[in-house]
Amino acid sequence: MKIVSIAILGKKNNPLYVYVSNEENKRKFEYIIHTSLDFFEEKVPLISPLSKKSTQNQNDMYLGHLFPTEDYKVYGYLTNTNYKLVCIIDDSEIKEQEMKTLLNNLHTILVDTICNPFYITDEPITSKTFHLKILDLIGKK
Amino acid sequence: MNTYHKDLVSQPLPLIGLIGEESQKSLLKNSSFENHKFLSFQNLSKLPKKKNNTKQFSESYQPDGILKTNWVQKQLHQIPSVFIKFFVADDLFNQENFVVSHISTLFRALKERNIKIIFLIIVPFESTIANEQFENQILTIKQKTQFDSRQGSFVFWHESKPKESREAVLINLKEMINRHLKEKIRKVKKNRDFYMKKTQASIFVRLYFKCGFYSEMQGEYKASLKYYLRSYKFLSNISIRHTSQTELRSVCEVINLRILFQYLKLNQYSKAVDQFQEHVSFGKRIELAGQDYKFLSLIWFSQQYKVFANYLELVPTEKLSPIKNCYENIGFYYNSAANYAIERKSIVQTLKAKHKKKLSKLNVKMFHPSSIYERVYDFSNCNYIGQPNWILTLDDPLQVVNKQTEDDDYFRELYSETQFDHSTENLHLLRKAYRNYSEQNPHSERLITTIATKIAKEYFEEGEFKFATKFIEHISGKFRQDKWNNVLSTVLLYSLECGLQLKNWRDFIKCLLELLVPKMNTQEETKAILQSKLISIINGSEKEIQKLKPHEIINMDPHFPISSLISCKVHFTQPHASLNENIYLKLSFESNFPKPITFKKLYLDFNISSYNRIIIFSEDEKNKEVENNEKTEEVNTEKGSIQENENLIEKDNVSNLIFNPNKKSCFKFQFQASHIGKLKIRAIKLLLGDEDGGIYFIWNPFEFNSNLTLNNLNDENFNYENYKKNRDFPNRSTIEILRPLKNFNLRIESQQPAFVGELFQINLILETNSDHLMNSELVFEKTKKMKLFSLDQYNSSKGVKESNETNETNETNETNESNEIIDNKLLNEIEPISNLQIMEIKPQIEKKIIIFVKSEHEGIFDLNIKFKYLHKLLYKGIFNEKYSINFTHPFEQNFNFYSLSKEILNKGSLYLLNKQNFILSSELIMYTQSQLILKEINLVLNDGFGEIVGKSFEKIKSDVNIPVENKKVNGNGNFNDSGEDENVNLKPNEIYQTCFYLKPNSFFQSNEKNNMQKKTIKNKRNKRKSKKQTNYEQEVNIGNIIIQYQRKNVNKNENFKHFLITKKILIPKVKFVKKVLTVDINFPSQGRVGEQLVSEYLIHNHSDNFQKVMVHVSHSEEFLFSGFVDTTFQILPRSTRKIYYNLIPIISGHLSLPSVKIFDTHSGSELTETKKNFNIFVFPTQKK
Repeated sequence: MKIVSIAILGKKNNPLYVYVSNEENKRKFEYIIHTSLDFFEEKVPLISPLSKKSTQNQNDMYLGHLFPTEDYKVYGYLTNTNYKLVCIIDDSEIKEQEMKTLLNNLHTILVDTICNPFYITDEPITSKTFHLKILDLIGKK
Repeated sequence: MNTYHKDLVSQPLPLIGLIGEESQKSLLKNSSFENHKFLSFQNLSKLPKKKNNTKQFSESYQPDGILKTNWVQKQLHQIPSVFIKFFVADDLFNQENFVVSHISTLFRALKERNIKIIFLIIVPFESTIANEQFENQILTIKQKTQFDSRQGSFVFWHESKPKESREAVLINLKEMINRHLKEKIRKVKKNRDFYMKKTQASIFVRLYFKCGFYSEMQGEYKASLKYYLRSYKFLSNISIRHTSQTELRSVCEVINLRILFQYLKLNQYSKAVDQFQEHVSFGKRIELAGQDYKFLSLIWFSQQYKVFANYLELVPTEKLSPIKNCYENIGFYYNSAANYAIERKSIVQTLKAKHKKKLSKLNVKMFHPSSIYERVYDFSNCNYIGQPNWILTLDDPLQVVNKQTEDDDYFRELYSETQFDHSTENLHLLRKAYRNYSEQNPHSERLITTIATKIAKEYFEEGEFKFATKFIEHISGKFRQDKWNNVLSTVLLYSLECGLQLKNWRDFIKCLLELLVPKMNTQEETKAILQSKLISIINGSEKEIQKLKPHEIINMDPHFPISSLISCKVHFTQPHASLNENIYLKLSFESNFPKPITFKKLYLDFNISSYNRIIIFSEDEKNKEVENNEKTEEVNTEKGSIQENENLIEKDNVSNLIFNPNKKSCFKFQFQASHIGKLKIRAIKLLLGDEDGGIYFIWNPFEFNSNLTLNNLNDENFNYENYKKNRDFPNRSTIEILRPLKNFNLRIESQQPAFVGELFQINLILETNSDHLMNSELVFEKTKKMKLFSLDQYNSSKGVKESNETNETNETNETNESNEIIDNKLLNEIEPISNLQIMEIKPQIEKKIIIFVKSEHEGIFDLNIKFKYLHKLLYKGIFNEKYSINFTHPFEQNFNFYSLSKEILNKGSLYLLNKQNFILSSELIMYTQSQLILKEINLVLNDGFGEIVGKSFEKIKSDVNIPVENKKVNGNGNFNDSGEDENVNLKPNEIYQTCFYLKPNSFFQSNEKNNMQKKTIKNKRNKRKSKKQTNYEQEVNIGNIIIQYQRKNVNKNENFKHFLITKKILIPKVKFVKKVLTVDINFPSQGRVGEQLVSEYLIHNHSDNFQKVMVHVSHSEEFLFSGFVDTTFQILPRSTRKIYYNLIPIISGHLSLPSVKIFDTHSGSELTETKKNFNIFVFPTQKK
């Protein structure tokens, strides 16, 4: 599994943090991340507490495989506070549990960052520590 | 699908060779033979040469290639599965030897190739040969030729029976074809044993492909699918060392096409999708290394996705529903194909630039680039599919260009690629993707937006700026809504260029401004360049770009992204001000332009246009000009501008309208309040440019901008109502201008409601702000229904009277109270006031003036006061004040006469009860909230009516459970008659009842004559009006109830005692009716049959006149009677007349007397109306 991009999107779908392994393709990944919002919106009613279908996975914020592109796979994670975590990997086989753990860890890092009193809500995350933590998470440090 | 040769994308059909004359061949060609292809042969020499079987065994360990290019073509177009040889029936008999030799030759030649043959014997219409003869003859021929029935057959074609003949041919054909293909498969399968699966996988690929192809020709799709899948599996086992990547890719493409074709034939769409995914994965595994070769891979991938999408488009949409994964949308495949195609285009452009020199030297006639995909499958002499020696020239497609170096191949390929029309291809794919997503996934807005972005980019690169602009307008809204500024900035850069190319300056400027917004991730250098460009456009210094005319208006609504470019805050320094006072307005701008920017004008618009200002700044600070109104701009530019300027702008704060980046520029303006009311800032405008043209930045929160729909109204969370409500500058953008504080102020204090008849106290409170002693005059407007009194006036007049009285009387008790309680009688003697002089109102101290208002009418009356105040005999001001006073009654009253029976009351014969007492009862109901002290309730009877025997006063009902209290009232009606100071407190919402016991005296006896005479005169006048009212009716006023009450001081601290109010309540009039004639009847209560009874009627005339009476007796069957039956007579005044009737009962029992009706002829009324039916009991005759 090769993580090619990680993105954190705000409550109003605005990008807060976008990491791309290859900066040349940044725009391409931004389009993919933006497109993933459609699939978040499509899947959100299913995990909404009001939905009848969501009896089993109410507390599960991991949305799983959102959609494929020709070269990549996009995975999503929706936090309780409506932050959206997107992870794009190359088109290789991956265990669901691995991805779930990765996104859970990412969520923890995000919570730590947001709890910082100097962070302004819904503003892009520029913290270097956060960036280093992300690199650590995906094994690029 | 057009990119492939038709043989690859259609079902392969078996070929049938026809040998014979053209007329004979036409028999079959004209008959409709579906799923068969016919090919004419003169002889067998046309057949391709047969390979030596021994070659297979001597074949090298690894073949030169996987699939031969001409193999499929041979199967479909060159080598028939079955031959059909035509004979005429007569020839079998006439030329038997020739036929036998011919059949033998053919048989031998075809047996080697395992090709079947059918001898079709045409039996003409006129033939007379019997069937048995034919059969015998054929048997003979078979014996002579050693005919093998597995190899061929004889079929008759009776011209007289074409249908039956066709059926027979078809059955034979099918049998022979199947036999042929099965033998071929068997033969191929036999070869498997000679090879190793692991090491010679490419041979297995070929073998299974052949099996699959033969099965497909048979129409057995399941079998063919099985063979193709095996073939594909072996393909993936081939190591790349043994064969080139391009060959592998081409072969797998061909096999994949066949597999997909089989799946679609079998309606197994999900499996087709899975196969395609596997195919793409396989393609990725064998991808060419190196950036220079990448475009070849991209071509391949793009092609694979496109072809599969084309396949899926042929499938009915309802059948696609079983595919339940992410790949269910055809748009996905088109989109992926487009993505590869776009990447391919960019790489090719890079390579083109890189190898520009080499490509320019390359002068080869290439095949047309559009047919680039045909290379997969062509019929040239090149041996194997996908091998690199297949590039052809245009002039002679069959001439193979000799294989040269690899470099030459590569550049030829690259050259052809550069000639390819990428944009058309990309747009085609993108449009297809866009259409499919829009139709099937309309909710995937962002995905569609992304595709639209790519389309816009393609159009832009193609130079189709109009189309590009349309798409950009559509997509930029979505990115703006999601605040994806990174992507938006890219899109806007395209839009900017489009605007420039189309010379659409308005769009250009808007895009440019949006790109300058700090949140937009445009590079700082780019931003600086853009700003310089903006300024040069506005100044008209840009050569190519025409100056902005007329002005462009940019709304700085906070919902627009441009609004963050300059933020504007505005407020008044104070929340309210007085008229003619100076008002200060503070403005602060914060510029986020990358470089300092200079504005020429600042406009301040207020809700009252007279306050509007235009501040013009020229480069020279001294020439700053300020004008009050836009219309007078030209006039004021020269005169008086400097003076006003000094007043209006604080020099320290404002130098000019140059805004530095990320710094605040503050302004302070001074105005003079010239009106009363609210002053509100409506809009603020900044002009960048000059009068000829430029940009207005407008902060106008009060006008809804229709352009907003573009950006925000699509947002579901956008609340339009809230938006409209909140459209305002922040706090203190409004100032309230009040009246100037008066030197004098007058207000009225009165807490309680005013009662009718009461002397109602009003406190007029005067106050002054002046430092001097002031005098004032109050002038009251006279009204008919309301009178005003002053306390001073009363006291002065009372003082005069008291001085007179004190000498005469010793009653000191009353004088103590008289200070507080105003005597009504005295009040009548005082003239109501019309004006009031008040001297010496001290500054900063309230002066309280008490006046009284009295009204005898109920209603709301206005008290108009003209208020004049003066200082040193000079009027300082006059103003009018208006107050409304509501006069109401505190009581409701109901009167009832209780002791009079209903009948008497109806008749009004009150005088008949001369000597009887009766009760006059009245109910008093409180409704005011004021607590009252009831001092006295008294009944004043009219003269001669009677006297009051007794009275009572009690509370009869209460909302609160208070025990009912009875109060004895003395004869005068005073409660405090017993000597105790005991008043009755009337509480709100309680009902009290007062009863008076009256004893009428000889009112009518003494005054009857006088009253009657007076009343009759009045009644004569009223007779015309009311017919019912007779001479004997009259209305009498019994008298009045007089109530004295006083307000109770609720507040203990209140020193003032309220005045006594006397209320006179009229008792309703009582109607009396006098009767002139009356009848008395006397008769026995019982009788006996046959015995005489006497009934007596006494008619009294009470009047002093003759009265005429008419008597009528009706017939009775129960009595015999004697007397007047129908008569009229007169009765003397004041006398009585008797009428007797002798009655003899005939029947016994309860009998009613004969009805006697006596009428007053004058009035026509019946006197016996109430005495109609009298019954007596009649006994039967007594026994003797």
